[in-house]
Amino acid sequence: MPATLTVVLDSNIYIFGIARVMPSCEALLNVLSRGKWESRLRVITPHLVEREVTRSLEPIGLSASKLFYSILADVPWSGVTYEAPPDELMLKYLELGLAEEDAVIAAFTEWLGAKYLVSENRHFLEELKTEALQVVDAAEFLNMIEAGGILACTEKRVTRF
Amino acid sequence: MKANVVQVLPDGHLALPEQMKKAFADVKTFWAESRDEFIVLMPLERTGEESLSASEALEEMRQMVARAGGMKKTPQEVIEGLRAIRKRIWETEYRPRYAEVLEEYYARHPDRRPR
Repeated sequence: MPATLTVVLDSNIYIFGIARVMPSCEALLNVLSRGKWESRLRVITPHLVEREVTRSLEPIGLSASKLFYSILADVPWSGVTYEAPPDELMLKYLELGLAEEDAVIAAFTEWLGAKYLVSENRHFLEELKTEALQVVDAAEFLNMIEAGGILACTEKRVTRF
Repeated sequence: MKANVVQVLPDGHLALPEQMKKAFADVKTFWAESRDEFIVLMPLERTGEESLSASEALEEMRQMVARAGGMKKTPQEVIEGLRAIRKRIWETEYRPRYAEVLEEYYARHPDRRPR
């Protein structure tokens, strides 16, 4: 049975993809929501990301939040994680140069064993260098999925450990 | 029970008044969401209602955005808006949990303290 690859999508991916502001984010959400992932891919969502997305969607109507929860409840998404990451991981990402509010997202990503943090936020893309996780933008992650690289990476990771 | 007043029962459950019973009679689940000054309970699933798949929900949301006239912001403005929301939620809901460890960290590394 192939290992499950776990990823975190940053709030900007959702907003760009839902509002069709950025074609790569739109395509990524399409691929994730329409694919048959079974247990090969799992998208985890920190409470902070959920709050950012629902708050951003408020202007288009209250039911937009409800629809967003329908996405989070369907495979490959696995709901919302409310727990906060441990102190030492927060400090690790502060030490790596992130702002406090970004450090908590990176810490969450590592804490829950996610291999990728998908974001269009250049603060993450340019500033975060760590072996624990990889920050990629939507286009890069989409290429990995379409090229089958995700499964290859997962298998490689399993072999290494 | 008075109309339109939600009561908190001793066990922590919320009780809706009789008049509201009909409106929520077929609701199976509520989602509780914390807003700035109150908590919103959203009917999430209804009896006899098929729950939406992610792709159906995504499509509906896109139609809502289109009906609202689209996103009237540039990508950079969206990113900045989200960063502002993240900072606000971090400050009010998350930072207090880490306050002690952050203070210890900044005491050791005063140059890292945010200005």
